Amino acid sequence: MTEPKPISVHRCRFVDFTPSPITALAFPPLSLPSVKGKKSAAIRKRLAFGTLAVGHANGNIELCEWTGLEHEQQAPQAWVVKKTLSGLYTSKVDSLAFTIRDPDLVPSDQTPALSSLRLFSAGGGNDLAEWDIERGVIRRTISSQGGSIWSIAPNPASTILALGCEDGSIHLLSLELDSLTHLRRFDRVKSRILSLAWGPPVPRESQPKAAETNEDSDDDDDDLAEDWSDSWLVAGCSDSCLRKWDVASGRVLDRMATDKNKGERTLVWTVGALGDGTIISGDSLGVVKFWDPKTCTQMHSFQAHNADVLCMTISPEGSAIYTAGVDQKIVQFTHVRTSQPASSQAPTKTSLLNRSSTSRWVQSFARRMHSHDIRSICIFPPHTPLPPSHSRTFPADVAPILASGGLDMSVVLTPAALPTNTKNKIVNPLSTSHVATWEDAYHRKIGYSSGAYGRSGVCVARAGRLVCCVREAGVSVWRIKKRGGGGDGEEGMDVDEVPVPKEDGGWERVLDMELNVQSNLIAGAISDDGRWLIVSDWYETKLFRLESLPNGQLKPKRIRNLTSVLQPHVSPSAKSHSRESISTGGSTFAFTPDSSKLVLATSVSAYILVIDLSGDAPRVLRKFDHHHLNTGLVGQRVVKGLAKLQATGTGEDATEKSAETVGVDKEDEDTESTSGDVRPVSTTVTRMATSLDGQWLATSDDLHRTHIFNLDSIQHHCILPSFPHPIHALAFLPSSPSTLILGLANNTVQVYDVEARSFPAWSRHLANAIPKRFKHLHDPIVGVTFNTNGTSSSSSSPSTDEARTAVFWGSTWICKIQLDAGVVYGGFEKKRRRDGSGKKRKDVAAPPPEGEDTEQQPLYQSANNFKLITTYRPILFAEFIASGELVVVERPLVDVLAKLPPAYFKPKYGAS
Amino acid sequence: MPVAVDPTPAMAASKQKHAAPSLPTDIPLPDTPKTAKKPRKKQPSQTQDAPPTPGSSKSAPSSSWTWRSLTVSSSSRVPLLFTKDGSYFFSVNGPSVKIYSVATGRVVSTLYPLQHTPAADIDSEARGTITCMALNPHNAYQLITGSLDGVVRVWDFVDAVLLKTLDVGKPVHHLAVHERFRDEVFVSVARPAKRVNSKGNPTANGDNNSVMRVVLKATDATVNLPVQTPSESHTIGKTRGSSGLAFSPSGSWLVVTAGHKAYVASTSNLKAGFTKFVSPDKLTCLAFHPSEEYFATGDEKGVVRLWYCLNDSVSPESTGTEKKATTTTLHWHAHAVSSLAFTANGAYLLTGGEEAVLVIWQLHTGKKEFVPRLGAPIINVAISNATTGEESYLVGLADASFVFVRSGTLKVSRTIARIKIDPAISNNRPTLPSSVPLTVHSLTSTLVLPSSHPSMIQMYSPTIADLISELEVSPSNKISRRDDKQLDPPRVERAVVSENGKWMATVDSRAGDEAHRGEVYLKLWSWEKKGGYWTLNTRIDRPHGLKNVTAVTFRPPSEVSSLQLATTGADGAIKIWRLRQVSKEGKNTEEFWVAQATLNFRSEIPSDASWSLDGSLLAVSLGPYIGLYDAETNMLSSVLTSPECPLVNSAQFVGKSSRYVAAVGPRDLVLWDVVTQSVLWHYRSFSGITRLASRNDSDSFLLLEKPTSLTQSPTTKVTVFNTSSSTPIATQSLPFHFLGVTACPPGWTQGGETSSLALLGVTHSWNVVLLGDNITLPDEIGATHIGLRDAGAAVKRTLFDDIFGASLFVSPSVQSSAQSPNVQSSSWKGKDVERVFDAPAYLMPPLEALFDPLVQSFFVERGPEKKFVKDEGEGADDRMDEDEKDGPILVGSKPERMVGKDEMAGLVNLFKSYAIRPSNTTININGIHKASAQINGVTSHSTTSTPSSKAKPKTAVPPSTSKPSVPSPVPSPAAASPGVRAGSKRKKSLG
Repeated sequence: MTEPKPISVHRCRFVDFTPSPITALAFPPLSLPSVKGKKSAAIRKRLAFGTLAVGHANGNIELCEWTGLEHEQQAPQAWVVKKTLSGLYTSKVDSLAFTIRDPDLVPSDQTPALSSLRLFSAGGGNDLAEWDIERGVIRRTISSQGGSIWSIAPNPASTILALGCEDGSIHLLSLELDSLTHLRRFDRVKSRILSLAWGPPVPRESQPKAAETNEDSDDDDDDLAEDWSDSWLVAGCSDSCLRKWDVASGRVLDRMATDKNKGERTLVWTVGALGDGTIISGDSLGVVKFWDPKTCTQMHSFQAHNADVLCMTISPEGSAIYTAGVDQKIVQFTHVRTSQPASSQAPTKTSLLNRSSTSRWVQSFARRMHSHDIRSICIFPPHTPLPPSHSRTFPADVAPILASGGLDMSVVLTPAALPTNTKNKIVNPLSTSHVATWEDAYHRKIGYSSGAYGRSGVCVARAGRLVCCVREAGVSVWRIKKRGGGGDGEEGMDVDEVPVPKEDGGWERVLDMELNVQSNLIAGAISDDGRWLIVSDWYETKLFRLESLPNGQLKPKRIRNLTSVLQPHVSPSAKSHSRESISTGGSTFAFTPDSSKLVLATSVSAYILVIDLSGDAPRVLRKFDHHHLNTGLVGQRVVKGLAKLQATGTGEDATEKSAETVGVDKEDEDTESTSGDVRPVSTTVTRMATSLDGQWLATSDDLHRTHIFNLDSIQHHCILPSFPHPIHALAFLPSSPSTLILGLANNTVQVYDVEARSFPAWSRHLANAIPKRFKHLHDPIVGVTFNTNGTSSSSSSPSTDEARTAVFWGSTWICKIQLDAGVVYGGFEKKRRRDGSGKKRKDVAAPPPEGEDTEQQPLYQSANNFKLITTYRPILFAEFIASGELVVVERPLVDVLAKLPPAYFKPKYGAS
Repeated sequence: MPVAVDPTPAMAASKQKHAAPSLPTDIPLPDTPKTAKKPRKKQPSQTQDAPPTPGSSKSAPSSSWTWRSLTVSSSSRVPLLFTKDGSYFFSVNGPSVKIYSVATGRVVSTLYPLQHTPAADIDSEARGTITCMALNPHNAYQLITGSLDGVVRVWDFVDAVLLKTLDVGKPVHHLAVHERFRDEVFVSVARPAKRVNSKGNPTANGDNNSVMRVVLKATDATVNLPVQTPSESHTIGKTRGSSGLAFSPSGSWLVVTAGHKAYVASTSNLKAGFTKFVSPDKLTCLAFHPSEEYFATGDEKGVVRLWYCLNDSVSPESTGTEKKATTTTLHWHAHAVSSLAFTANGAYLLTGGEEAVLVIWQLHTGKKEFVPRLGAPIINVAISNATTGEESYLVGLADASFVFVRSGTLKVSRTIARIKIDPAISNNRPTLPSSVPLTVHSLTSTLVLPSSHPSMIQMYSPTIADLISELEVSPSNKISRRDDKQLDPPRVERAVVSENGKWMATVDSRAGDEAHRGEVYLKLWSWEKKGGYWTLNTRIDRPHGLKNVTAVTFRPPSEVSSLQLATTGADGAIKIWRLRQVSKEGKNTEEFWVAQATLNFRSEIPSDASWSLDGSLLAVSLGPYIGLYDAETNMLSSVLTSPECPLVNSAQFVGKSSRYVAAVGPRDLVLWDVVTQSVLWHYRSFSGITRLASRNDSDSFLLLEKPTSLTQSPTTKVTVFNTSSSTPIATQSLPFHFLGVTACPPGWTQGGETSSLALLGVTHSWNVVLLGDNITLPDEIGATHIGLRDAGAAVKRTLFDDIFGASLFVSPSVQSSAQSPNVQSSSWKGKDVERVFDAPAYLMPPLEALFDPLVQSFFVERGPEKKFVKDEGEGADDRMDEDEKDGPILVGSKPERMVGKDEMAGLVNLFKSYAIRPSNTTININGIHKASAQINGVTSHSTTSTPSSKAKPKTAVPPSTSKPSVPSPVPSPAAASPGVRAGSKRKKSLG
């Protein structure tokens, strides 16, 4: 931007999107180490951060992926949503559990990859669901046979899943060999089983050789999991006590009674077990108790919370406990030794859990990082209860990360190093602060996104001036009225400045629909002219033609035959799977700018369908299966050379081409570089963009592949080399329609020239010159928008500077980046320094007169090629609706929280 | 004040030496020694004390007055320390250490290192302030103190001998000892901040300390010098300004808290220096767990932290770096934590702070209990380590009082207090009040004073130097809140006691603000003779609207009419209130106060009111006029005005017969003769006249002026006038200003002539001073160092003892060893006996030999005193008489007293019938000072009655009779054996 052109901002707070509270969190477990002692007792190398599963109250489960690469110690963006498993409408997720599908194959010192995990969820009903993570659907359900499921817990070996049921029984389900079958049932007690935890497994007795001694030199790694047998299971019950069950006999071994108020039954909401057998319980009185492993008598009791303790997690090495609950506090308990050991250099790993009289648990710290009830808390690396002889140690220089979530809808991440470990410098993987101890480190939130896959659930019809918001089962459309005042009403404001919100009455609600859906809606789009609206759940796409009524309201008219139009194209082909493909659901949509065509990506099979809307009935013009097939994959990446090879290659006919394209079977990692084998992969197209002239279409899936299609010729154009991070923002530059802007999850920006099929030279500079401040923003890029000035008459000749200015936005920030500034000016570093001080004000105070832009250009360019504002938060959506007219949709957390039941609050001083 | 204090120890030194070996039997009766002591003291104080008081000025009336402070200096932050057996505790008071007896709550002895330099000035006192003390771990009878003059002293506190004085060279802030380090002491000393910091300016804070290890042995060269040099000392490490220094119970760790850090050193490897553990806030105190290896700190934000860092995380390679430790935070205090203490079993942690709430944390669970409303910010918390019996907590408060809290009930069991005088400690009020309640209660011969909270007043008995009770005139919140707007508590402005001592009128007020309107209350309290406390009789809301009450005065009693009270207010009204008696159908009559008359004089604002001695006239100063009202008719009888005094601030009747009215203007004093209604004389002051003080039994009166001096030091000029002439008799100057003065009743001082005026005043610095010609007061007990000969042998009292006194069956020798040395010294008569006590303890004859002469001396004195009492009859209450009648008989019978079988049976019966009753005598013995209802009835009764009975004879005795042989009043019941006590009790209860 050569001059600070005033931008008026529609600060929309009317969009009543309500994010769904978090009800469950889960990290993948680690597989059990070998019984034969030394080999895997310590994890020496840094663990890759596992997938974080976030279960919501609306039934959706988000699988979040760590943005840091293996060599990177820190990832400011932490976890971003990789997949959204769309739950059935009006279902919920109360508990989540990951298990390892094939524990023998996963080394015990590596984080299991998502592909080798199984995910189970229970939602308060009788049924346990297992999810097909790849396809995003429920794989199978199984009834608990004991009423509502209150708790689920997989055993450390990932072979058994225990269900705590309403009727007081514990059902064990066998998970062996990727199955899910009922194994046995424990004796029933007369209370609900509210929480479950497995005790440490014991090395199997039947093994002829002693477990600890490594006398046998033969390593039979194959039956590692067979070396362990489960010893006991502890359950927190609703009748003020805990019970410990013997797994072998299925009988109650011990009963531990908690405190109770007169006439009330204390609910033991959460229970945990340490490697030495110590049991920890948290109950509805807010008391956290530690129970002796042998006698099951109470060792410590802490009135740690003012209200119910709902969840707990155990630090990786079992030396700290974190509990949380209704009073919004997270309390840390630490295992301390208060005396010096006889020899001060005693190895810590054995002495840590040695039960001597001088070591004990203390309540060490409490933090309040949530504004509402905390429903779930978990830590990575996960804790595995292992006997002291086999206890794990983790690299001491990386802080574990504590994730907690609850009714305030955001996952809070905190580095959770213990102060006793501060001998070395500890890396804070979240890079929130230099210190990594839980007491002192800064926490951060994972901002919620309004749509699936970390997208925004809000979309805008520019010409129609409509804002559309997709909720779980409903759609609302608002009309943004044009500003009446014209020029004088537009107070000059730059994006960088604090804008004056548009006066009231600038909007009206024109459509409100509640749909009959099977699962929660996952995608929606509105055409640019506001005549078409399309929404979809996982199974069915619904297309509406919107007609304006005289009173300004919109009347939707469902195009009923869309399903029948789509069905033949997604119907099972010979080699694809049979059942799921019947779904006509779409995972993402795009209308061409002239609203004549609709591009649809099917949810399960990831076909790209181009649909012509100009006729009476929608007509599928073309089906692309590039995402459906494993095109372009080398390992899990699309390699640049191969992409170029493919791009420069002959193919015009995409369907044919795809057969010739070099591809790799995804399962055979790294083994083969090329093969002619083309197999369908399970992926979901998550992002889609069309260029302003309607010529280009870019689609991106959750395997990080990006395909370019030519919509004029309706043909596949090319595939981009894939990036290690998922693409979060995808858009064509309006001024040069062949330039594709990609914003990645780790807040890097790439520019691709579609026609040239290459990354322009200037873009490389840009990618390198992105300020650190931008890269270190905690909230990843969600979208990008451009100040189109095609319709603006006031603007002078659209200079290239302005045309190449992109406005990226995340959930808490809006950032304007001049894309080619790197070439012209040489980086952003100076600007950042100017930002904090009051210079910004100065820029506003003395804007140069119009027409002097050329002389002032260097100055203003330097001031304007990077601007970051954080005035608006949390941002659901930001888009230029017209030239110089930015719509920012905000959903203040206060408004959201106001709809929740009141949070627990106890006044600090004063009466009662 | 320190100036005045100086002579006191010196003076007391000579006297208390004689007094120290008090009678074995007077322990249970703390109230009685006073009666025996006082008249006796008159004697030696004149004959013997004059020479050895170099600091005190001569008694020439024209020179500056002698005065002395009744208050102790402010309480010290140095933690309290118990002796090993828990029978005494040490409290630091400036440069001295006071030793309190737990059994009696009295100061037993004072260790005062500056003894040899009596003329110590303020500076040296400040420099010699003791900052830390500890018991020698290898000799429980040795106390080690460190002080700001850089000296570590070792005392034998049993014999009160200074054993060693080792010069460390730098001001000592903290010290720690452990039995692993014999004859060594670890001290934290100030480190001069000479160096220049990185920015080039010198580090001005000077807030740096270093920790040294000092061997408590003098070098050979200095071994015979008064101040010795330690033979060996080396520095362990440097810290910021330290706030605590302690050893772990096992002695393997040394911890210093300083600034925001806890410095930890392993004593096995002291050369390695300190490992620093960082705390988010500045640490203020430190305590070690008694058995486990962790410690607790308190910080400025009120957070108590338990540190679990004493393990291998303190390693040699980690020293020098700043680390974090696993801590547990206990947060209740809103303000800084001032003190911490673990109980001996390690299960509880006690913390105290500005909130005046003692918090007891159960460490196992983090639950807490509170002992709230202790009255003043807590400064110290200590735990009595008595080997037997219930554990009790000792809390030192900012108003220099100590509170014992029972661990079982968490109730305050007793309070040890002297005058609590500084209301600013808990309420930082910027302005000084215009008037303070200050009066004398004649029945109990106590002084009514403002207390440490503005809405309370306290009763202090100067004769026994003891706080009798406190009275909360207006209930108010005592908890401070630093962040909020300071609440203005109701403030007692005036307190007046009627002449017969039965009624007290108080005025308390609170200024209004936006939220609340102001409050003014006139409260009339009646004296409960039985219980010895004031009860609220009548409350009059807004006696003069919301305007100030300018004067409150009781009408002297007259035969014809009931009691009356006159108040004047800024609303222009003069109100007369009278006592009305309504007889109910039942037997008792109800008394209450009603308004009798409201008078106005033109539109003048009355500023002062004064009754004539016979109560027939009321003089009210009304602008330029003095209105004289007839008391019976409430009619204005005459108006006096004179050109010499255009504005009358105060008009008071003066002279023995109230013939004169002294009118005081801003600069003028005019004496009117009421009979002739003419001005007798006029005196013009060169400086502002602040107030007038007179006593109705004397023709002389005092004028207090405030000279406009350019110097900083405040001075008050006191001019003495006689009614006969405008020429001052004498002029004195005093180095302070007064908030309020009142005439001292004649019996209180033992000055030369009783006619001379003595004043009691509250100064601007909230000191209570007594001033006058040649005033002396009964000296503080234990104001000097006295050997605690039987420090370890304080005999436990039983319930039986508490009720009946010490047992008769105990042999005298046992008793003598059982007596705690502190007890108010008692009644010696005869110089030869006194000289016996000049000798060291081991040279004294056995107590058996001393006993008879001592007792004999009491009998001699007894007779005449009793006559006086009988002659003076009026005013002495019945129980008093009874006591006195009982006294001699029983005392006389005492030596050959045997306990017969029937008497035992009676005792058994009595015990049975009394066992259920609350043990009021227990409190009597322990000397509780709270005026808590009926509990201490006996205490205050006896304390009240005896001075008054004594005062009377003295006024009757012509001044010329002040000879050494002046009859001593009632022999102390304390001198009598416990059997006396038991006998009187029995009589009372049985009869």
